Amino acid sequence: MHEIKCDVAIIGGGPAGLAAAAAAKKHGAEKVLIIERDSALGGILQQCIHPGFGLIYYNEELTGPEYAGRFISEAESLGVESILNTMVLELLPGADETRIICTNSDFGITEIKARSVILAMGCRERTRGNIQLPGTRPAGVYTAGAAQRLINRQNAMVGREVVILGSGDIGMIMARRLTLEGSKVVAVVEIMNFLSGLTRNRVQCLDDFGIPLMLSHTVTWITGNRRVEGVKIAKVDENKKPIPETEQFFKCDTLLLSVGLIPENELSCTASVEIGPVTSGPVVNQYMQTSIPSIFACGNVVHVNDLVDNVSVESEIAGKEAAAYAAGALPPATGSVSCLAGSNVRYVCPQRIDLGNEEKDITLYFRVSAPETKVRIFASQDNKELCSKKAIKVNPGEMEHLTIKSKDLQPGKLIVNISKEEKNG
Amino acid sequence: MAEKQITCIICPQGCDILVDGDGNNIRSMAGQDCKRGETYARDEFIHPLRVLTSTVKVIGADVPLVAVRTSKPIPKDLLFRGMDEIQKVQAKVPVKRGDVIIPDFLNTGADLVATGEAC
Repeated sequence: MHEIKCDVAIIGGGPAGLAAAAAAKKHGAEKVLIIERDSALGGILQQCIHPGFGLIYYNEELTGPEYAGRFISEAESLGVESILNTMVLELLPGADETRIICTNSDFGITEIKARSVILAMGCRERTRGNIQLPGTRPAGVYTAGAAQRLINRQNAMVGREVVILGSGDIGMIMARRLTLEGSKVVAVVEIMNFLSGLTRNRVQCLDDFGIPLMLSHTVTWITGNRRVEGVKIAKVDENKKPIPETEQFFKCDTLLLSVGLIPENELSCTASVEIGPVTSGPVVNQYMQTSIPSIFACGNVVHVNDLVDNVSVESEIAGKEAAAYAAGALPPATGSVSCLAGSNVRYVCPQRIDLGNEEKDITLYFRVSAPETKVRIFASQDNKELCSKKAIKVNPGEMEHLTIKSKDLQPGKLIVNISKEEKNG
Repeated sequence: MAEKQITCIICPQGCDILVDGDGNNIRSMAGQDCKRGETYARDEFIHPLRVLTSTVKVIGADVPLVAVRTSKPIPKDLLFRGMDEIQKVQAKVPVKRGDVIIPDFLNTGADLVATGEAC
């Protein structure tokens, strides 16, 4: 069996893996290896040809391939190595090193031994099966990301008359892309009574092209024998249940699904990494370290992000700390703080803060449960407020964050709350 | 005379701004909460600009397409004409990120440049 030894192994060569790899190298890891199943680095960014990336990280607006290109160049110039066309099959954590069993078309079954491992596998799209969408089973039902890959990388058109279910960012971006390529987008249908993606995408992808957005509606039936011939769309009540008398038929040949993303953790589970129930990703501390000390995780495998800029920042932490762990320089914690979601907060990441190491600022990322205006966001321990900020508007589609100082923390619980601001507040 | 509803995308507040005017002339504006929103709504009303991104066929490469963009935003009403132009061209390998595929795209002063690579 082919064998490779390295200090830090990174599973996945998308934005998370690339940023983590560069950071690990910068922080002293000697041999850093990215394991990637595709034939090139860059991950999903390669098919995200639209602009809107890097506004925070680079303070300029880049397309996906350009954003990825910068990280690929940096990783390569730092001497990060990669093994492409390689699928990881199993992750076997051990006392001194973790064994990664993978398959590669040149080497066959390959074993990679690493002192620390970074999980950067990203996420998967929810499918028709996940949302149990009834009807016949014709051709022409795609997830939005699959359609994006076909159109933007493989030069294959997916359809001419399209209904898009879900107002996530990929769905809206595909609405614009399909329109520009000559298809007619009949409607974007969203079960919630609010947009699930970013407002700027509604404006520039739907409003610009007069594409109708149907909030509080859902697809109730798919019709078609060999190919999709149309879908039934109904209004939903406050419990998101379709109202039968509002059902209407819409002719189309294609249905795109943009109905959410799930962190891709099949591998994490083979290593018995603890998975959070809300995020569906590994539970991590502020170093992006999972429940298994030698395994770190970053990017969409941990929690689904809306901006790649946040992924890059978070992944640099994972890379730096995984390098420290590989060098035996990450001291054990003397105590820990559990970060909990309070009112109108769905989850907080990292879920745990380990105390006892150097003092530094820690950024907590979280999502709200429901849209709200004029709020105060605050983190507290035992009713003692650690930090707060005001926001004019919060939205489940846009991740929020708070920065706290580790020296202010005591072992125990920390709660992040969002409350409606008092009129005179 | 035309009234136009514009959603501001400068910050997450997303003000709905109602602009009333004609061509380059704005008579009134309502709903904006700040100066930046006013500037955005003015630009959107008078000359809305967008970056156009698409793909161009490549000949003799390991991939069928290479991603492209306009080097700066172009007038919004040129997007479909831009797509027609993009469809007429083919790129030759090797294509490097930043290579100009069509200079002075539709006489806008922006170039159509490669954002991806092909070899």
